[in-house]
Order: sequence, then C-alpha cells, then structure tokens
Amino acid sequence: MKNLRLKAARAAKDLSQQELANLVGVSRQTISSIEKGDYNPTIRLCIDICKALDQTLNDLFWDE
Amino acid sequence: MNTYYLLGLFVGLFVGFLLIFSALKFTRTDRKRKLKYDERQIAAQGKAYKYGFFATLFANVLYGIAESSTNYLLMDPMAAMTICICIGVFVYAANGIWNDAYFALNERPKSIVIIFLAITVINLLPAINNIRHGKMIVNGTLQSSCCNLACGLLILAVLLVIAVKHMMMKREEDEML
Repeated sequence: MKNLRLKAARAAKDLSQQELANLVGVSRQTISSIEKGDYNPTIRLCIDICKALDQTLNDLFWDE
Repeated sequence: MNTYYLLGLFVGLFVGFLLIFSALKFTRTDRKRKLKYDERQIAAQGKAYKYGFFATLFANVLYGIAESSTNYLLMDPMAAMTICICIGVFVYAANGIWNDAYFALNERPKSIVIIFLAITVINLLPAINNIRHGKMIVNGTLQSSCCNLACGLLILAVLLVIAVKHMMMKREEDEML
C-alpha cells in the first residue's frame, strides 16, 4: 500500500527523496520503495524517518 | 613452468592487485573499506544470492546432463566450472542491480563502471587472440582458454544491465519532476 502520508510529510519539509535518504542513512530507492508501498521498513527505520520529518509513527506509518 | 608462463602469471597478478587497489581507493565516497548497505538492500541481496546459487546449481546440472549424453568431451572442466560460476554471478549481479542493491551507499557507481570496463577489455583482448589462433575450440572441445571470454562477457552483460537500469531510473526521475 502506498504511503502518501510520508510523501506529503516529505514535501511539506521541502525535501527530495535523495535528501531524506541522506538524512536517514538509506538509499533514495529505499525511500521511493517505502512511498510506493513496495517495501515495509523496520521499526528502526520508521523511527529514523519520523525523526527526520518531525512526525510521529502514528502520523506516518499507522494504518487508519 | 616456463619463463613466459611465470611472466604472464606475474603480470596477471600485478594487474589484479592494481584493480583491487583502484577499487578500494577510488570507488568509495568516504575512504572507508567497509561497504554500507541499507536494510532494504541487504534483504534484496539475500534474494539475489539465492537466485545466483540456484542458477549455478542449474547450470552445473545442465552441464552434467549434456556431458553424460555425448560420447566426447564437450568442454574442458575448467571451462565448464568458469561458465557455471559466471552464470551464477550474472544472475546475482543482475538481480542486485535491478533491485538497486548492488552499489553500496558509500560507493561511486561511475568509478565501478570504469573499473568494469577495464576488466572487460583486459579479458576480451586475450580471448580475441585465442579465437584468432584457434585455441578456443580444439577437436570439438571448448578449451580452458575460453575463461577470459566468459569473464569478459560476464562483465559486459553486467554493464549492460547497469546501463538499462540507469536509463530506466533517469526516465522515472524525469517523470517525477
């Protein structure tokens, strides 16, 4: 399932996929895969992404 | 072992060490020896290794069946081993490249491609020489002198996959903008 909230949060911070990837320490393709819903990140990576985007796990990764 | 063989061995080892040194020195962005992969890449590499392993197994089985079905030696055992390994390595590399798991986070893909091109040339030149002098197939048997050709073609095939993947990614990035 696509993660549009992540994409929106990234866009709100005016970050490209590469910039977010650099902040979090992963490849751009990993961020792209998470946004497309092709890859389920580990909790550690979820936390790192939330910290980089100043969001909570609920905001970005919890199924509504 | 004659002088030319020893000289060839020495030159081959020297070139090999030179390439490894170049790879370590010029392909990293952070001058660290250890390659960094993220969790998705590690998971994708695991799958790529699996496919490569089974591809090598399958190639070996095919060779065994082909060899036992004929009355003459199809290929030198060294040639067979090299070709089977090359098939497995290609499957691993192609799968890794396709899933963006081949190049590490602290690697420069352009430098790797340059080194691969050098390796291709280094392998294809003696291969072409062997073909010209009729050393590749002798009495209907593929000789071990085809190892250079196999390695050269392997790296060339990997470069082709890298090029195709790069074009696809470029198109994706253009569509995103």
